[in-house]
This record gives sequence, C-alpha cells and structure tokens, in this order.
Amino acid sequence: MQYDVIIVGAGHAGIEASLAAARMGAKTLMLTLNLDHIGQMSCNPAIGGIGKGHLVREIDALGGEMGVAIDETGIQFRFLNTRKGPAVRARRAQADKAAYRSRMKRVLETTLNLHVRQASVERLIIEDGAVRGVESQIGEVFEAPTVVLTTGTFLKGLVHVGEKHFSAGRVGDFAAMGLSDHLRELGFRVGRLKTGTCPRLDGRTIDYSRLEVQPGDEPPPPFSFRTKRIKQSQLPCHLTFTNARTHEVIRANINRSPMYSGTIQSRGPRYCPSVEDKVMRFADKERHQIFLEPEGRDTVEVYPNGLSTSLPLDVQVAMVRSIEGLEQAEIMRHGYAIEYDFSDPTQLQPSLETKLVRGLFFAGQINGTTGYEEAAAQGLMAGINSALQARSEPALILRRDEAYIGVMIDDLVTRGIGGEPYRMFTSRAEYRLVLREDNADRRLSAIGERLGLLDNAAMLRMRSKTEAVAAELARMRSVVVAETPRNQLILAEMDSSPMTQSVRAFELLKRPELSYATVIRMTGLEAGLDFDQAAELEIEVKYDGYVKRQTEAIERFRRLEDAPIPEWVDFGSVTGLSTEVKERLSNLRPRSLGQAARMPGITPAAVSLLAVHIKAKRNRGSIAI
Amino acid sequence: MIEENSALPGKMYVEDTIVAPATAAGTGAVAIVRLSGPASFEILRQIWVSRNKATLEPRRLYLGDVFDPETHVHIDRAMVVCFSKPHSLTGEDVAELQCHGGHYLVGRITSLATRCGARMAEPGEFTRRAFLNGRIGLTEAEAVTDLVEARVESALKQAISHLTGALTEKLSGMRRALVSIRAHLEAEIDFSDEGIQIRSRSEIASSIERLSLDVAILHDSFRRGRLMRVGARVAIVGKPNVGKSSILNLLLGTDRAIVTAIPGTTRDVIEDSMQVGPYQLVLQDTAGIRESMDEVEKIGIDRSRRSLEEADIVLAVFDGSQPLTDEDAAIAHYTKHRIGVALLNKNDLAAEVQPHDLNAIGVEIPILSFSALRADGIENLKCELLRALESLRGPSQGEELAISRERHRDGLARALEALAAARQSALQSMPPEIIALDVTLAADALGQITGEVHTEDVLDAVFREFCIGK
Repeated sequence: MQYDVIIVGAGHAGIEASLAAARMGAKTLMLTLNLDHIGQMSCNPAIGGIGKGHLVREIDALGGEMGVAIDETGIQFRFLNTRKGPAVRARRAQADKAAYRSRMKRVLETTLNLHVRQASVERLIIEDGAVRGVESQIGEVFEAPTVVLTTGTFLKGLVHVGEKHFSAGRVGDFAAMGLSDHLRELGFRVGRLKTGTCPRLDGRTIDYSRLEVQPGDEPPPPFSFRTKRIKQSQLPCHLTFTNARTHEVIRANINRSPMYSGTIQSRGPRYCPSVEDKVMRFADKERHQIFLEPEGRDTVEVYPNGLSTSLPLDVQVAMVRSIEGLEQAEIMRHGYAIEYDFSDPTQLQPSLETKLVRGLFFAGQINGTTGYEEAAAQGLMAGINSALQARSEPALILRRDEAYIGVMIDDLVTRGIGGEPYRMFTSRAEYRLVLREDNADRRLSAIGERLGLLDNAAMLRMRSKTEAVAAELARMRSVVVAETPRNQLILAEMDSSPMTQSVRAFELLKRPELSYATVIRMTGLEAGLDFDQAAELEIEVKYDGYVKRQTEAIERFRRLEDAPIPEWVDFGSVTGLSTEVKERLSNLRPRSLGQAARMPGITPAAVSLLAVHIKAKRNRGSIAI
Repeated sequence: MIEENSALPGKMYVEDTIVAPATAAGTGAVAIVRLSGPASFEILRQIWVSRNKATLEPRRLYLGDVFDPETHVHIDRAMVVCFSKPHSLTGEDVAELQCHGGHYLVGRITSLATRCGARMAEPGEFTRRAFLNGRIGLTEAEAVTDLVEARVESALKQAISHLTGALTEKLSGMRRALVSIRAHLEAEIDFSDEGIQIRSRSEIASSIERLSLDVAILHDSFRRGRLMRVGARVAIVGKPNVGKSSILNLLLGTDRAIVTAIPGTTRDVIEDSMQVGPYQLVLQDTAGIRESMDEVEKIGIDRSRRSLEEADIVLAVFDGSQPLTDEDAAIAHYTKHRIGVALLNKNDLAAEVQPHDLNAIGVEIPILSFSALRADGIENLKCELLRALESLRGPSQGEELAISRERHRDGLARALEALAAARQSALQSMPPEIIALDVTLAADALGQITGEVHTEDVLDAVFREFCIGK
C-alpha cells in the first residue's frame, strides 16, 4: 500500500502527528504495537501544569487534539499560579485514562484519510538517503515518502523493580527491540535515558477521612479555545505526606534500589525524582507531599503522585503503608523504573526531519523529552511538516518568540537535552511575557487556519475576544469603587493598602496584587470577561511597559535570527575557529547566526568570525586562505 | 551576547579602511597608530607630510609631520612605515604612524584618520582581517579566536592579567548571586504546586539591594581605574582672558598655548599632559566659555563645555583684578559638585575680588590666590591638584579592584539599572516573572562583560536548591 505519511506509534505524539497529517489531506497510516493502548497515559493521570499547560494551549491553538480531548474526558480542572502574573498562569487537569484512550481511538478511527493498523515496525526502507517506507516484524511493507517515528519509551525498553529487570515498552507492553539497532546501523547517535512511575493503589483501601481534600476549580477552566463550557462533574484529589518512618524504610533498603545499586547507569530527570532520590538527596526535609489522584471514573485505581519508585515490591508496600491514610492500602500495580533508547535530537532539523535520512521525522520521547504534552507538541509539528513535505511545501518552523513549541524544538535541535529527559519550563522561554497561555490563539491560530487544521470560527472567536476586552476596559475606566468597609476588607485580604477615597476600578486594577476578579468583586458588578479575556485585560493595564520592553528585545533577537547561514558555508574552512568549534558547527549545521550563538561551546567570537566569513565570501566570491 | 553580536553582521566591511592605536593605552615614548585597508595610503597622505617629500617605498621608515587637514594645525612629528598588500600584517595596504606616546595625542591622530574616511577598528579586527587573508596560520589564529580576550590590548595583557582574573572572578560571583535570586523566583513559578519555601518579596528586595551595592562600588571604581591606567583629565575653565593659557604653559613649563590679550584667542581645546605625584594629568585648556557671535568661537565654546563635562578635575580661573561678572557666576556654577581648584589669578594687580566673593557666587572648591605672571603659587597649585587626585582616587587602599574600560562601566551601569527596576518590582509585590525579567537582564549585562551568558545554570540552581518533583 502507498501512503503520503506513515506514523509509527500511537501515543500522544503519534496521535497529533496522524491527525494533523490526515486533516491536512495527506493519505496517512498510523501503526501501533497495540490497538488497545492508543493514547495511553503511562505515568500520571494528568495533563497540563506550568509550562506544559502552555504547550497544550498552543497545540490547541494550532488545531491539535489534546486540549479538546482532555476537556471532554477530564475529571478535575484547576488553574495554577493564579496569585502570580498572567504570563505564568497555567491549567492542569486530571484525566480519566480509559475515557481519554477510547475518545482518542474513536477520533482516529473516524478521521478522513487516516488508516490505523496494528504492526510492529522493525526496519525502515531507505533508498538514496531518503525514506521509502517501513517493514514490520512479519514482513509486511508499507510505503510512503515520509515516516514519523514516535516510539516513546519502547526502544529497547528495560523495566527495573528492585533487583529484577525485564524487557518491556512499559509494564504490560512489548518493547521494540529491532528498531533502535536499525537506527544505529543507519548512523544515528542513540543514547539511553531513565524514567519511572509510581505504584497504583486500590482506592477502596485508602482512608480519606483524615486527608486534606483538593477540589477542582469552579467553574472548571477548559483547555481548548474551542470548548465553551466543561459540563461533566469533577472528582476531588487528596493530599498526604511521607514521614520519618517512610524515610526510614527507604533508607534501610536503599541498596536494593537499582538506581543506587548501580544496575541503572542512565540519568533520570531531576525534576521528577523517585521518592528514594528525594529522601536521599534532601535528607533534612521532614516530609514530602503525595497527591492521591483518581485514575478515572470507572476504576478504583489511584495514582499516589510523588511516590515514583523502583524499590522492590516488599519495600514499596512497607513504604506506602507508613503514610497517613494509606495504612491499609493495597498496591494494584507496582511502581518501576524504565530505561530506554533515545536519539540525540541535535541530529534533527528544526522541522523535526532527520538530517541523515530525507523524509524521516522523529517526535516525542524518542528525542529525549518527557511528558505527554512535550510529545504531543512535537507530534503535531512532525505531522504538519511531513504532510507539507509530502506535497513539496516548505516546513513550518515556530520561532522562540512565537511559541513554547518553538522554544522546545529549538532547544532540542540546537543544544540537545544535556543528559536528562527534557521537560518544558517557563524559565526556558526568554519571552514569556509575550508567550502566554491566554494569547496562544492570537499567536498561532492564523497558522492553524491556513494549514486547514482549524475552521474560521477561531478567527471569529479572537475578534469577539478583542471587542470584549476593549468594552470591559472602557467600563473599568468609568466605574467608581467606593471605600466601603467590605471593600477595605477585600483589600486587606489581598495584602493591598486600604483606599482613602473612592476611585475608578481601572486604578485599582493597576495594583499588581489585585486581579480582575477581585476588582470586579469590589465593584459588585457581573464579570464581563472569561479567564483568557481577563488575562489580556490585566496584561494591558498592569504590565504594558514590560511587554513593550520584551517586544523590543524580540526585535533585537530577530536580527540575528534572520541572518541565515547559507548552505554553501563550509565550517571547516572558517579561519580562526578552533577545531572543536568547527566540528560542532559542521555536525549541527546551524541555519542562522542566532542558532549558532545558542549552541553550547560557541562563543560570541566564533559567531563574529562566522559572520565575517560569510560576508567576505559573499563580497569576493572567494577568498585566499 | 545577543546584543553584542547583533550589530556585527551588518557592521563588518572587509573592504573599508580601519584605524586604531596599535600600542597599549598609557604613556610611552612612542605610540603606533595603524591603518589597514585600500585607502590607508591616501588617508596617510592627508594627515601626514613627509619631510623630504620623496615617494614612500614599502618597509622603509620616513620622518614627517602630522597636521590637521582642516585647520593645518601641527599636531606632532611622526615616523611612518608602509606595507603594500599582500605583504603586510593584515594582507591589505597598511600604514603605521609612530608618533609620540600619550593617550590623548594618539586619540587625536586616530580621530584625524577617521575624519579622513577610516573607520575605528572593531576589537580584534586587524587580527581577524589577518586570518581572513591568510596572513596568520592556524595556531596563531586559534590563539586569537576568543575575541573577548582580544579586547584586552595585547601589550597590556600581561601586566593586567592578575587584575583581569580578579575582575572576572568578582563579576562571576555577582552573576552567580543573581542566578541564585532568579532560581528562587523560577522555582516559585514553575514548581508552585510542590510546597516550596518561597522567599518573601522584602527578602528578595534586600538581596538585590546588597548586590546592587557591590555592583555600584565596582561601577564607581571606573574613575579611579582609569586614573591609574590613563590618568585624569583636568579642564581649565574661565571666562575669556583670565589667563587660562598662561596657567597651562606655566604648569607644563612650555609655551604650549598662544597667549594674547585678545579674548577668545584659544578657540579649540588644547591639551597636553604632565606628571603630578604618581599620576598622569592631561590638561585641557578650553576656549573661554561665554556668549559669542563668532561662529568659529561658538564651536570652540561647545567643545569646551563638553570637555568640561568629561573632565575629572576642574581648574576654574577667575580674574582677581576685576569685579566678578555674570560669566564668572556661570563658571562658578560649573564647579558645583565637582572635584577641583579655583584660582584667583592676577594677584600681582590690585585685588578687586576676595575669596569670600567667590564663595558668594557659589564656588565650593578650594580657592588659591595666584599670579600666572609672577608664577606665584604654582607649588601650592600642584599640591591642591594632588589633593584633588587623591580624592578622585577615593578612600581605597592598595590593590583594590577597579575597572578602567568603558565597556565594563557600561555593562555595570546596565546591570545597576536593571537591578534598581527589579528591586522596585519586588517592593511593589510584582509577580515573580516580572521581577525575574530584570534580574535576568542584570545577569546578562554582567555576563556580557565576562562573556558568559547561559540560561541552563538557572535550572541547575533550582534543582540544586529545591526538592522538586511530587
């Protein structure tokens, strides 16, 4: 069978890649090891969070699926960082894992141009440096000029529990054993990473009565710009803590952890440490928080977020039962660590196409990232770019000043992952006052519409958003807030100085500590704006000067970014560069002086030399060296 | 880093002619000003005239004189050697002027060349042109790869290497402190749901303030640093015909300036240097500052103002034999909050003005009675100048760290500005990402001085200090 695009893998990257390619009109084939595990959340049952939530909003603004899917199947929705500025607020939702999976499968199966098949891909078919298709374990051949690999943790996955280890893509699934050797044969640099997950508990054996309840926000904030309102009811999470006894159990058995016994050599993410890591590295911390998160509506399984571990099962049981509320808890699935192969992402172009093989794209954990959101964002871009390539159109590359997606992919292809799985943080984005989750639609939806991933409703929504914000701004300028005892009390609550006379609502809104919601409460009026519109209003009233400064910084950034390094540049012949710098540049082949400047080990001096070299060669045609 | 580079791609023209002093800044017997590029010889001909008028052969030394091509004022006597391309340092036509040493003379000749069409060379640009043209090999080229280092003039490099090391160490330390502040802010943002101990805003504001003090001290060491390296500038100011030029000549022991009784004789800024104690002093005799209808004189007066503003020490001269005028009052005004000496000149004539009259018009610097005619009070003046230099140097003792480069001072100034903004935001309880914005700017400003600008180290600091991960 001949296709335009083949997607290998049906995780969060594979789903977005397949849907984007098919929706753009490419004849698309999705291949997965197991049709029952499409869109599986292998680790925690949640989507979003700070930085990650920004990615989901951008995926949605471009016409991706993740936001809509979690809005439909989520069981709890929250806004994080609400007491901070609008730039770093983010959404997080608890998912119903099974509902999320079946919804994704249904969408894939009903999407035009998209074919879904179960197959284990062992080899790529390559001719003259370009991919031609893939071959399965049982010898089936599927042909396409573009192939996207989204293999997650499945490449030579090795699961560890205590002293025991076995091959698996995750517990319950086969690993893909042949593919990573095949990639090595093709010349890819392949490395190894580690991650881990928590045991799952039987919710019926947890005593919630003494635990702090953590409810969702009311009304629940939806992820998707397309979701008007979340209709389903919400489930609460609960909070408990480890204690001295838990730490004692861990310390007494630490030599049985594969991380500490030396069985696992590869590095795990520092921001997602196992509980044994936390206890050992931060010995003076008396307790660590554990969120008890339901895995869905139709299951009793509970995810004890914060208890990721690869200790042997008997230690896991003792550890769990030392925790308040979990004294009687039964473990339904054990926690484990997993090691897997990844391909160094500096071998990719910013389109996510590999430099080694034309038409071959990598997306998701295969590139050394972690997280459903990071995977989905790359999947979306790889899907878009494979479809664009199949119809001979130039790739879509988002810049660092346009999207978190742009920041992430630029980091990956320019700097690599630096030894641990890459996760999105807002601090990675230089221009985060501009890259907010409330304005993801303004930044990206025109692109989504142009690609055919969004209908024109997105444009209409943006227009009405602009009008609503303008109208509310006018209202805030005219409405007067009186210095009533109630209002003074509200101010005191927000650590804001008391009013000495009546003022316009607009003046109060200028105070950094007062949100739009608080000011509206003081006016006694109905809120005229939703979350995103309110964020836009606050940005405009409170942080306009800062946004302007950032916009100026972006203009400076673009000057270097827009200085291309032509294809003909031979980095080896740039006089004055050290051999090491030449090698780094030749390997990565940065596309602009800006990208070169961000590479590790490239000094400003090297960039200047490169600039001079390009200029001189242009001016003279050739130079004597 | 981005900012420094951003101007480069557009700025580099291998085809134009560049000029720069080739010898270290500071006082020496001889200094070299080097021109490189296609117009080198042409520019040389405009500012330098050979004594024996012969055609210049490459690699031979010729004696001649440097003139200002516009005013035809004689600037200096200088030896010249030319190198035709490609047999030169850079592979281009190169002319080297060997003039008398002295920072200001060298600056003057360099600026003549730029007026005639040369461009000031970028740091390291001669070297860069040299390897672009294949004049230096791989090993040499590798040694100059790091232009950040090339910014330190090679001749001075060794002498100040300990200083540079100490400065880098100091700047890196300040940058690390900023990275740690930012790490706390970032942890608060990216890991807000992980029960992290948040630093209070006032705590953050006070750590920023402590750091600002450090940065400010280093920033303010610029005058002292420059004083030690290139000397202090003294502007001699006063209304026309109070005897400024006589005083200059007296201090220098030569007839450097033309002395006439006609007001406004000195129309440009004349400068020369002398030694006072361990310090180099560059005296600048300015045109009298007054309202003038004469166009040429107006230009001179403007220059005087500028020279006055840039000077480290003010030497204000008043005529003691005539009643004080509005112009004197204006001069007095210029001495406000400045380091300097006021001279009540012409005490050989009947005194019309007493020191307290000067105090009355606002003179707050020490006042000396003086006679340029009789050379009376010259030793007292030198003493006062030395005292002024000591106060310029500041109360510091021994080898305390000081910056002497404008690039460093500007970087520190940018950092200070950003720190002030960050502190303000912290005190106003602005959200963490707003405070972080300016903290980052400050860290980058410091990083640009030392050449280190990374973002990863913020995350490293976060993971080092906080237990992250639910």
